[in-house]
Amino acid sequence: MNKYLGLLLFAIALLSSGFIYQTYYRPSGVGGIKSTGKVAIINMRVIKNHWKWDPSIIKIAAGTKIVLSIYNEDTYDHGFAIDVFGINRRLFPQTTTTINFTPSLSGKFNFYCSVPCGDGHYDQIGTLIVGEEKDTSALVPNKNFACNATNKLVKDGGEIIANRN
Amino acid sequence: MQIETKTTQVQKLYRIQGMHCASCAVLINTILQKQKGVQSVNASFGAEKLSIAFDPSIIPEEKILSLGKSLGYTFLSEESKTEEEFKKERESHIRDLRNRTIVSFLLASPIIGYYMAVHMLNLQHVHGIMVGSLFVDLNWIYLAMTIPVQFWVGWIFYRNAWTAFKVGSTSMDTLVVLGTSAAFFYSLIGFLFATTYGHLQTIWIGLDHPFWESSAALMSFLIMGRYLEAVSRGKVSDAVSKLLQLTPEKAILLDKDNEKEVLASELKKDDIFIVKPGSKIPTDGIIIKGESALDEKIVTGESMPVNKKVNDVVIGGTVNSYGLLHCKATKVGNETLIYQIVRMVREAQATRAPLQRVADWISERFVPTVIVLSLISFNYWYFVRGDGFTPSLLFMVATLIISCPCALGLATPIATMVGTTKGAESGILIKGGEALEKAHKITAVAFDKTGTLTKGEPAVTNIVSLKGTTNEDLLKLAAIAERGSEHPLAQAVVKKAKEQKLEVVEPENFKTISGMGVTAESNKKTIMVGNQLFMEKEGINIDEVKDEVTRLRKEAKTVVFVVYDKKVIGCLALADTLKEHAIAAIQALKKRKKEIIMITGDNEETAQAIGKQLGIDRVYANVLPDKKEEIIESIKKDGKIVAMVGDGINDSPALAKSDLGIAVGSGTDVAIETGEIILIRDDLRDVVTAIDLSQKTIFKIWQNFFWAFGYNVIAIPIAAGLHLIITRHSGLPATWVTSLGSILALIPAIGHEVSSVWLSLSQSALRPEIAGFAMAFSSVSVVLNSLLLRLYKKPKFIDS
Repeated sequence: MNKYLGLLLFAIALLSSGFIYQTYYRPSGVGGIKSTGKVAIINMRVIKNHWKWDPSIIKIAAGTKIVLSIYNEDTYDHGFAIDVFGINRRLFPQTTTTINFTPSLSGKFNFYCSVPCGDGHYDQIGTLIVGEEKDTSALVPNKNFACNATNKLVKDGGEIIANRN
Repeated sequence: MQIETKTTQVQKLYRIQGMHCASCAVLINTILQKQKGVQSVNASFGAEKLSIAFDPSIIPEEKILSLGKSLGYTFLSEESKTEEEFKKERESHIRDLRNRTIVSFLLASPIIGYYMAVHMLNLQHVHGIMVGSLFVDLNWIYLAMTIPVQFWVGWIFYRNAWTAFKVGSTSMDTLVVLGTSAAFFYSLIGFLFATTYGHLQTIWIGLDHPFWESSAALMSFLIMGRYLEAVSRGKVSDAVSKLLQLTPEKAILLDKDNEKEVLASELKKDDIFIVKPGSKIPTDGIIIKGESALDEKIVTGESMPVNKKVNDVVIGGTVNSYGLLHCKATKVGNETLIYQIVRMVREAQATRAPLQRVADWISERFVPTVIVLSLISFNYWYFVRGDGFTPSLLFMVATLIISCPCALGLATPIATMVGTTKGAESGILIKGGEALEKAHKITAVAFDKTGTLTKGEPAVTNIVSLKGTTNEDLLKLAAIAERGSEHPLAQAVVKKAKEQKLEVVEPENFKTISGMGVTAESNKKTIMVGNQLFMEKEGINIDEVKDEVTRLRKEAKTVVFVVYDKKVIGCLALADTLKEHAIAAIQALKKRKKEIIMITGDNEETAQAIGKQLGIDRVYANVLPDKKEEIIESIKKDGKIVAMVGDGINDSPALAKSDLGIAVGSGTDVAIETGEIILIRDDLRDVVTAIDLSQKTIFKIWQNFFWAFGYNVIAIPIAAGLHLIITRHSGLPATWVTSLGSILALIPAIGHEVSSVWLSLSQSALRPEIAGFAMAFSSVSVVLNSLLLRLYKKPKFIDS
């Protein structure tokens, strides 16, 4: 049989059985959590020449839409990636980049810098903790770095600005 | 040319125009095979020829031609275009590839250099520059540079992949197209949608890591490989036109006692022509007057000159040695033996089975595997795990991108280049990668005898002197008598005397007795040198040397008697002698478990004598030129992969028919053109070196594939996210991952770093910059590994 025809039939069979599984057999609780309509605005920065996220830990309730504004203090590029939610964005130097997404799975996920940026590149890791819906959300600022009063990000850091409904 | 084999079947040979890959031949074969009335089809990509047997009453020729047209190929009958035009076509094809290669490298090298540096050295990425107050994203520049590489240079691969698709196979081109397209469109969409324009981001987020270098590098190296291959292959097909130049251009026609110089092609059947001593026979014929010895080794392979007299057959292209001959033309033009050989070479080239290249062999299996894996990964993440559509799709695309083996483009050409250069340094010209791949698979080596294993000219091998005469005196006297003769045997005697620095004075009263020998006088005494017939005629008693003569004849040697002052003083034995390193070469081949075969047009005794001396496994003697090819065919049918080593025109059909033709460089142009490996020096040990070097090179290529694909094999499951199943447990790092992390943290100084990198990498999908690093690393390792071949040492030989 023609190899391509075989592959096509295989793809059709696979996808349709996947669809059937998802619709009728998949245990409840697996899969995406629907958006709750809440919105969390989070400001974040990349600390200059330290390859650190600030805050480096974010706690959020599942289903809450995150509006994440990241200011890159460096003169070079960074990237922000959480592959489980399919996010991989460039952070231009000394620019604020806004990323919108709704965490649809609960768990503990790493976010990391996805653009080679020198020495500390592979250490530039933070954690996104997506809790159950009833969890109170929290941000944990990077304690190792002093807050700079002039930095807008620091002023806002550590708080959820709004729970719009 | 057209041979009626049955009343209804016609065998035809066409040139195919428009073939661009091995799949084309498969396509032509598959389609034509299905037609009613077609008995056999054989399209060859390498020779660009189609050999087809069909029944014109069921399927007219026009139908076949139009079928070819509809597939995109033109079938040309051999006569419709001159060799010149074909040459021009080939040259323009090579020029086109060269241009693509140059453009590709010009555009791709900055990209390759930049990404290699960033990924290998973990430098800071520069994504944009400020021109005044304007921010210029470098991705625009990379995009502009990659588009021509991906689509103009890569057009060749797209076209080939499409042909492969039509025949239902997945060649290397398919893999290249799949991998580079995935990388290119991933980069393009990621760049355009996820970064630059806000409103586009609402459609698509989540992938912004361009892989421009992936397609740029792969395309560039592959096109370079194709270019080099085309250059080396272009040389192969000139062979046949050279063959026809063997017969002399002019002939002397005898027209009612008038000698007239005419073009050889103007000779008609039954014309009478004259052949002067030392010149070539213009066409096949029969002697009607005169006698001579003819050097026929060029056609028949017989080492000794053949004595010919009235009513004997002469072959066009052979050399007349001493006598003036009047001959009647029996065959002219297409009927001549030489022309028949031309036809055989052409057909053998057209029907030579192509070898499946290593890269295609791998791709044939690798491509479907990758596609299946990418589908499974999407299915798993989307339907089973319930991840979002974007991340699930990304797992799938990542699998496809990772499958693109960047180093694949380097694996074959670099190793081939190093291998062939190394060969050229040792005097071995290897025409392209296919010759290499075939050489290492060889299980039997067939040798032509005359001119290949032996020197192809008679030499004095034994001197038997009777009591009262020294060997030197005997040789000296014989040489004095033979000095005036043009006969090759006589010249061999003189040569031997000169080698021994004997003084050979001018004889008196020199006389040649045709077909028997010579007489001459020196110091007022008669010297006679000649064969037994001569001795009998002169009434000379040869009983004294009889035993020796019998022994020498058993060794297939030609014996001449030397008579001084009416008395036999001894005899000389002459034979074609082995080339210097023939024995060492054969022994080395036998050690490598190759079957050694000898095919010769020479007689049984001579062949057996040489065969015994060399320890040859199978000897075929009395083989006419057209039968050599058949013998090769039958050896192939026994399941052997056979190399043919030869030098003569009579060997060229066999060279073309064999799996690998090795031409000895001292041989004729035609053999050299037909051979795929050419030994520049007249040293048979190079046959062994060629096979050995090919094996080493192919081994290198396999190693390179390991480096190129090993990375893919490891990276594909990671790209598909397989590791996450074991490193994550209900959304959290698995216990073993965290425990390993805390163990790693105990390492002094760097422990904390290592631990956090481990925790990070184990929890995420394949990070694009790590993929980039791995791709660069695999390319570098392939290059370095290939360069190790520079250290190749020739095999050692035991010379006896």
